[in-house]
Amino acid sequence: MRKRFLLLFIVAAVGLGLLWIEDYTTQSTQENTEGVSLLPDYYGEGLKNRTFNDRGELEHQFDARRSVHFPSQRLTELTEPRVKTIADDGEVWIIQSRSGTHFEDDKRLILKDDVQVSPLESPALSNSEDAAIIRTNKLTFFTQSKIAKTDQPVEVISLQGHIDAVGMIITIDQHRVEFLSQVKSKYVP
Amino acid sequence: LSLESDANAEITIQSDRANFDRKTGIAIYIGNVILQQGTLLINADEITLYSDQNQQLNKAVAKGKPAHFQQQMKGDKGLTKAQGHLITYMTQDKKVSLLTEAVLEQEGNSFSGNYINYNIINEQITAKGQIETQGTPSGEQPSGRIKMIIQPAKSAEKNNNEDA
Repeated sequence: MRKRFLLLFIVAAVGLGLLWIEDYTTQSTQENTEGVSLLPDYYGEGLKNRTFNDRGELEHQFDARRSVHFPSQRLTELTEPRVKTIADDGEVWIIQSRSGTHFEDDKRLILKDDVQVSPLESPALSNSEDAAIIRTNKLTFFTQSKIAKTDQPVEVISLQGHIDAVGMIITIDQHRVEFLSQVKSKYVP
Repeated sequence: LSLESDANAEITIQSDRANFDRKTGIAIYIGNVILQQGTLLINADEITLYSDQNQQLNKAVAKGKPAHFQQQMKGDKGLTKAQGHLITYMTQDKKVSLLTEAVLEQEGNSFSGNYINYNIINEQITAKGQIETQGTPSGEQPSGRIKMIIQPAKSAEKNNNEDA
């Protein structure tokens, strides 16, 4: 009788042990896959990304000194991103900053730290004669609608003068810049 | 004459909001707008700035109910003050035109009418009761007359009294 009881106890213990092992292994693999999926799937230096419209014309060119893509969040972290975007009538705008994040789903780019926006016809960035630069510290650029927005302080420096404001919306295709509050402008005679 | 320094002063503008059209070079300032150039000051609800092909400012159109204009005159002649629903300031030609309930005051003299033109450089003022082309929507011409109040020249009159 005692032998039988001992045998039963051993079988139960082995069964419980197996169950525990199985549970432990599935849990850790799950953690691993989660961990893995949070990890980037590619990393690049000096990557260039070009988008063309349905007429085959270049619409955006996207450069970054460094890009790290995270598949699970469908975003790319960028170092020194530089966007060259082209208005419907061909005018080119350059938007750049020290860091940025590109969100694939809503084609949105958030730029941070020393953000500069400049129409290329006066490429301030190559210090041409009629420079015009718009500076802010954070800007959201919707690449599809080519609209850039910020609620932060904005500064515009150009040959004609200087503008300070808070909040701005740029509609590139319509060549419109709206300053949303506290506008102070200086025009040099 | 207005102060010469005004002509070379930079133009500063403050407002609640502003819209810029890069193609046409037109800038519209909206909400509590203050334009200043030296002693020249315009207060309005909205000011639209126009630039020439060299992107130099050449015209400012102020709208208000009314919009106000003032500028210091040379010497101790005090301020030129003006108002109208529409004030157009030609920044390079130095001319100001006032439209609709226009009033201009200078050294105690006052001019009012529907349309006043003021040349800042030679201080010439022309006023019209009614602009020929303008008519009310219903077509009749609103009667508009000019009103001028000219103060007698004080110093000349005083001398005459003393001699008599």
